[in-house]
Amino acid sequence: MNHFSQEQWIGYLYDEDGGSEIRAHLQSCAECAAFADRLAADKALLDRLAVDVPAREADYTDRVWRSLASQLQPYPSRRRGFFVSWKLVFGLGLAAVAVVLATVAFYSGRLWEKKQDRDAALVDHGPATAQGRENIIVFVLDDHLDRSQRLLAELDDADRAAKDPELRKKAQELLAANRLYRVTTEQAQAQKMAGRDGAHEDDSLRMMLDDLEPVLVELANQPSAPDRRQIVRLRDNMRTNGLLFEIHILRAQERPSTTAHAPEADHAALRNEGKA
Amino acid sequence: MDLNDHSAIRAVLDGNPDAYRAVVVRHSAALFRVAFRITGNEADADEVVQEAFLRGYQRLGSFQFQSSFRTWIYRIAVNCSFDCVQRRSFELADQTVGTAEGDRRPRTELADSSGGPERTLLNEELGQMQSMAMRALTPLERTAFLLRHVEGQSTVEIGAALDIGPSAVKQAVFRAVQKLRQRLGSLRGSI
Repeated sequence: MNHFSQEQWIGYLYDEDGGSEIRAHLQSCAECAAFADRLAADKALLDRLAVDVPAREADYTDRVWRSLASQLQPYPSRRRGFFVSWKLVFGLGLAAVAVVLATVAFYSGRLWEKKQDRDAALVDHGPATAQGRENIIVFVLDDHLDRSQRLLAELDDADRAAKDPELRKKAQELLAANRLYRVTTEQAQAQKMAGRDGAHEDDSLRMMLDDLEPVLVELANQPSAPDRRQIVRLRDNMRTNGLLFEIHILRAQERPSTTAHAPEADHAALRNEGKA
Repeated sequence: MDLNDHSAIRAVLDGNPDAYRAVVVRHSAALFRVAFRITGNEADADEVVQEAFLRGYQRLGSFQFQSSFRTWIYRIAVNCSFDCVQRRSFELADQTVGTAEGDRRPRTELADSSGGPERTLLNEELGQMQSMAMRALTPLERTAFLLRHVEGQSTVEIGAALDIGPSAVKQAVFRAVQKLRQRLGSLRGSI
C-alpha cells in the first residue's frame, strides 16, 4: 500500500515541499522505503542517460540570427514618429470610415423602415452612438468571418488546400482586413465600456480576431505554396478546428440579435395598419 | 541594444524586427540543449532552433505578457523537436538503402570529438533511445519532465508556464518517470 500521493513522491524526489514528511516516514515504513529506493534508482538512471550536449561555436548565436533576420517580416508599426504614425492613423481612419459608409449605404433602405423601432430600443439599451456603431461593425465583420470560416474549412481537407494556388493570397488579404477589424473592434469596445461604468462586456469577438491572426500570419508568410504535410501541421498546431467552431458560434450568436426586434416590428406593423 | 524579453517583444510588435535578436541571443543555447536531447542529432537540433525562433516570431502577437518568454519559446522548441523526430522516422521508413543489418539511425555529426569515438557512438545511441522512450509520453508529460528534470525549473514555474496547477505538474512528472523507467529499465546496470 502506498502511503503518499504521486505529487508528494515527486516533491520528495526533487527535494521540494512535502519531502520532509516522507523522509520522516521512511524511518518506520519498509514498503515506502523500498518504493523510495526504486524511485531514486529511476531518477539516477535518467541522469546517467543524459546525453552530452556538444558545445556550440563562439559565433553560434550570431549565425542563428543571420539566418533568421532575412525571414522576419516587420509587424505593422504602432509608434514610429509623429509624422509616420499620424499618416498611419489617418489612413486607417479613412479606410474605416469608407467601410462603414459603404455598409450603411447598402443597408440604409432596410434600416429606414425600422427607424422608429430602433430608436426606441436604443433608448432602453444605453448610448445610441456606441450601440449603433457595434451593430454596423457586426454587419461588416460578417463577411470577413464568412471568408475566414471558408479558409479554415479548406484547411480541413489538406489535399485540396495544398492544390489551391490562391491559398496564400487569400490569407494575406484576410490578414490585412483582420488587423483593421481588430483596431476597430477595440475602439468600439472601449467607447462602450466608457459609457457603461466599467461593466463586464463580452469580448469574444475581439478574442476570436486575436486567435485568428496567428493562423493567417502563418499561412500568409509561407515562403512558397504549402504542401499537404505543412498544412496538416499548421492545422494541428494552431487548432484551426477549434477556431472554426468559435467563428461558427459567434456568427450564430449574432444572428438572433437581428431578429430580436421582431416582436417590436410586429407591433409597429400593427400600428401602421391601424393608421392606414 | 540590451533589452529584457518583454521589452524586446514589445519593440518587435511595434515594428522593429531587429529587436528580436536580443531573445535569440539569450535563448539559443537553451533551445539547442533541449532540441539535441530530443532529436539526438546536432544538425537536426540546429534546424529545430531556427524553426522554433521563426515560429515564435510569427506568433508573437498571441504571446501573453504575464508568462515567461523563456518557457513559451521552450515549449515551441519541444514541439518542433518532436515534429523533426517524426519527420525523420517517416523519411527513414521510406529509405530502401540503410546501413548494415537494417540499422537506419541518422548519422550524428559532432563538431566536438573530445569525448572519443566510443563516447560519440554511445551518445548517439542514448539520444535515440531516450528520444524513442520520450515518444511514449503525452505532450504534457514530455514538457513537464524536460522542464523539471533537465532544465531544473520548479513545479510552480512549470505550472505557470503550462497554465496548470503544481499538483498536475507533479503528477505529469511522476507518470513520465514511471513510463521512462518501463522503456529504459532494461539498461539499468549496463550504463
